[in-house]
Parts: sequence; C-alpha cells; structure tokens
Amino acid sequence: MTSVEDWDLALRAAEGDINAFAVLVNRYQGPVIRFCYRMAGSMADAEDVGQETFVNLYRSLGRLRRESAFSTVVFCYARNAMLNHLRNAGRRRRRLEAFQQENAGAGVDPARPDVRAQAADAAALLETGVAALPAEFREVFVLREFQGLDYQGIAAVVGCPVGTVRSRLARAREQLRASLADAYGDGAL
Amino acid sequence: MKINDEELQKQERLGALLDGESPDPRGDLSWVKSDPDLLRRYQQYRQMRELVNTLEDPAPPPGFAAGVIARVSAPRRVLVPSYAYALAAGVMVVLGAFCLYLLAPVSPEAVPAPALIARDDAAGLLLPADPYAESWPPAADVPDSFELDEPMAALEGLSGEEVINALAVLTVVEDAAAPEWTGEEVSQAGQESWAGAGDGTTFVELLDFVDTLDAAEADVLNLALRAALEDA
Repeated sequence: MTSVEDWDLALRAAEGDINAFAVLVNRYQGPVIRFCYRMAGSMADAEDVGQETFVNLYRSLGRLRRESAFSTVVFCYARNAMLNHLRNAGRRRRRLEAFQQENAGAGVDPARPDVRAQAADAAALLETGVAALPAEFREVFVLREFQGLDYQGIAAVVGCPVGTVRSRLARAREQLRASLADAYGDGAL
Repeated sequence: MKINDEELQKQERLGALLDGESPDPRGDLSWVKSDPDLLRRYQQYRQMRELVNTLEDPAPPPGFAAGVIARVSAPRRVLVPSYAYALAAGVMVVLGAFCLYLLAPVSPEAVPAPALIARDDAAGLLLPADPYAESWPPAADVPDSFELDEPMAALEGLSGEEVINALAVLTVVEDAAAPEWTGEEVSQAGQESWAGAGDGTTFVELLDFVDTLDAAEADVLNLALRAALEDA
C-alpha cells in the first residue's frame, strides 16, 4: 500500500469507479475507526463518525489535490467529522448533565457511555484518562500513540504548527501521568 | 493544571526524545540520565506507551465498508429550501425588468460640447490637463437657463461667475507654463474678431471665435476668464 496507489485509486473513484473507492474504504476503515473510537469513547459513535468521514471524502474526491499523503487527507476528514460530533455531543451532554445532577451516582460519563469509571487495571485507567483529556490534547495523543503519526503528520492533520503539536502532546502525557500516579503512586507506574 | 514555561519545555523535550523527534537524542538522553526526577518521568512515559500498546484495537464493525459504499452509491436527495423558489422568482423579475430597460428606445446621445480652449502646441503634443481644474465650479452649478444659441445679450442676466462656470463645463484647458501674455499681444485678427462681438453674438459664435485662437491667444483668454472668476 503506497500513497501513490492511494491517489490513483482516488482519481479513479472521482471519475466514477466505485470499486476503487471501496478499496480505499477497506484500507482505511481500521485506522479511521480506531481514531474515532479513541476520540469518541464509543463504538457506536465511532461507526457513525467513521461513515461520515468516508461519505464526505467521497463527495470531495473531485476537489482533492495531491499535495500531501492520502492518509493525511483521510485523517483530516476523520478529524473534522469528529469535531462536529463532539460539538453536537457537547450540546447533548449539557442537557444530560442536568439529568445527571438529579440522578447522582450513575457513575457513567454521558458523553462516553462505554468508558467506565471503575478502572480495574492501569491499562483501563489509561483508557479512561485518554477519554478524559481535552479534545485538542486527546486528538494529538491519539494520532501519535494509536496511529503512529510523526509530529509533521499530526500537524498536517490538525492544522497547527509542529511546536503546538509538541506542546499539546507534552500536556496530554503529563495529565495522563498525573492521573496514573494518583491511582498507583508516583513511583509505582 | 497550570505549568510554567520551563516545566513545559522539560516535558516537550522528554516527549520528543520518546517520539524520536529529538534534534539531539544523545544529548537529551544524557540530560535525562543526569536528573533522577527526569529519568523517572521518562520511564513513566515509556510505561504509558507500553500500556497503550496493550490496549485492544477496536475492529471496524461488520458491514462497515459495505454500509459506506451503499450510502455513497444511493441517489443523493437535493433539498431545495422553500425560500429558494421565492429567490428564483425575484431574480427572474429583476432580469425581466433589466431586459425591458435594454430594449427601451434610447434617446439620442447628447453631443458633447466642444472644448472651449484645448489646443495642440507647436509640436503636436496635447496640453496638460488644467492644473486648476479643481478650482472651477462644478458643472452642476451651470444654470438651467443657459442656452448656447441664445444671443449674448440674453446672457446679461447671468453673473460673470455663471458665465465662467458654463465655460468651465466645456473643459477649459490651460497651459500652466504659458507666459503671461498681455492683451496687446493677442493677434490683431483675434482682437478684431473679439471686438466684433456685440449684443447679437451668440455663445456658439463665441466658441467659434475661440476656435480661431492660437495657443498664446487661448492663454490670454484663459487668464481673462480666471480673472473674471476671481472677481465674480
């Protein structure tokens, strides 16, 4: 799988070859779903946002330019779809927060129903910690740790300078380290 | 959690080392090893990465790709908002009115008034534009009753300034570099023609007379007009 092949497939898909687009979907559905799941914390949401990503990408194929790796373009679309989802989720969460206050002790983050508050082990605690990161820190952490993008690649997807990526990553790691240290002690991680 | 710049720089440096993005990996590693606190933190970052690697990657749900293809293959509904029809009707009305305007009979184009004084110099070059153009009264000040064919006697009711204004409308061009000719230096023929102007001379005839003037004589007339304007 090379970036050149991806662009060739994209060109054919733009000309109406739906099978070429199907190949691209099969190639990138895994990374897209992983990214969306880590950002949304819910597989149902990840599936919805993932579908939106590919549908929007398909509709834009004719306008895309070969200025970056195709994978970068895919992640840009995934990120945009996720940001829209989180904005809408924020509105829903505020409505639910009032309900939560009336029903204290539910113990489930309404924005991330699949992430449970009781962490049985460090990995689960880490997963909870990632879900609790602010979105702008979470996305760079997910792209780095779960998708393996380098700083330049992350900067291209997120649309910010490399220095900003470096700073947000540092803050994300420090926040996670602090939450793990709280649970397990500073020296026991 | 507020952190100061120095602390953030430490964290960024540790992160860059962890991610293979350090510009000086050896130097940064020595730096980490020299400080027990930094070394502990760096090890914790590595442990977090190992924990991340243990997390199960969620697989795409069955039928995910097929669902995407089905969505993009379906005919796309185009929703036309209701206001779009009203907008289209409005555009049609405006276009129709514009077409009627274009098809309407056009009044004869007004013949531009000849320039009162605009001469080529001896080299055939055009005189520069009137540098005092801004001081001339605006064309809107030309009185409505002013008729070029009227005998000049009928123009007595107009003030000198109004006459000057009317002349200014006809683009008085002055050569600012022209010497200050005195009246005596206007050609004898020109003087005679001007002296011949009487009550029966129309403004058009005056304009015809102006056409007979050469550059020097035109300058004299320009100066006279300007003086009259200043006096008005």
